[in-house]
Amino acid sequence: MTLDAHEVVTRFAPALARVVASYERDRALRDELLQEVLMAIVVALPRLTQPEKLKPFVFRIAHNRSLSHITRRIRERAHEETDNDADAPTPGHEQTLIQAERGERLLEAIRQLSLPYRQVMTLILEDMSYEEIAETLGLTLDNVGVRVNRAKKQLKERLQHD
Amino acid sequence: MTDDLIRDLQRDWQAQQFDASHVLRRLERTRWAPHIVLALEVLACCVTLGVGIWFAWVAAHNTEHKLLYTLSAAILLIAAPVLGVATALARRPSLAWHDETPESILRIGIRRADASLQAMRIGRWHVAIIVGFVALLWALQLLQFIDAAEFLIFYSVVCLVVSLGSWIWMMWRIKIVSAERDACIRLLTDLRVDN
Repeated sequence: MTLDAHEVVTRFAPALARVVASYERDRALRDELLQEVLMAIVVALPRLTQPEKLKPFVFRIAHNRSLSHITRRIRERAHEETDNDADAPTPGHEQTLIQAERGERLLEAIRQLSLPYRQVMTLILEDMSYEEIAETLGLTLDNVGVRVNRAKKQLKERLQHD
Repeated sequence: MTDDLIRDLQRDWQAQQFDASHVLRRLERTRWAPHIVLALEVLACCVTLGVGIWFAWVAAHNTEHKLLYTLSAAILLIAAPVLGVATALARRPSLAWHDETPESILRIGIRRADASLQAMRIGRWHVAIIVGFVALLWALQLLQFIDAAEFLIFYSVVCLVVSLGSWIWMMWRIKIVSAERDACIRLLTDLRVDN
């Protein structure tokens, strides 16, 4: 692996793992999907012509690869309710446990959003601007604004309901 | 854009730590695997080509089994380049993940599913042709145009098992591909939420 590709996948792996987790609940499949995403990034990286657009480039690959994954997996989802989610936090640290629990609640609420809202929300939560989200998902800025507002509203309701 | 709610959610979201180190290690190990497999396949084609050339040389210099060597050489010399090109094309990445949008990914998914379903419908006709051919052989046997009952029994069993296996496999694949197609359509409808 070239240094650049290695640096990119190492830098983005934690964020991409979160995005992948919003699509795939099963831990083994999530790891598999994450590896596919990282491999796709490594393969595509030489075709990135504008380095300043690295973030949308990387997240676009992650969302596209994950979307393709769920179309293959969707028929199995009805039978699958086992939840072996995020890595268990190290016990003994109360703050970590509380934070982890909040993270898990949020992840579950995000998973329950419909696809367009889930996509914009995971990108917003990764600190991406509207322009970057539009670039990532191939949307107009207006569409991004509408989706973000609706996603935020739905997410708030779900979190309050829980 | 960033209000208090979003800031709180961002903090909770980014605090989630999924351990990706083992995936990165695995990626490091497997990154070259597709290139190695492709290289081995090209090597296999070159070896096949070499054997074909050797058969052609033997056919040209020997008088014994000349037809057998000539036919073998011809088959290998034609098959090796064709298989080589087909392998290289098949291994090319089929989708430019960085160029597509979620909508185009789903549309491609639907087109691929349609192509697979079409191919499997044609595949079912192949099974029908094999069964028809076996029936024809038995008709010829019963009308005493040929006399190969023992061979026909063996041949019919093999064809029956292969046809039945292919049929079951195709039905199973049709079910899976149809489910994937339905999923693509449903997700595409979901994505058109703003339209």
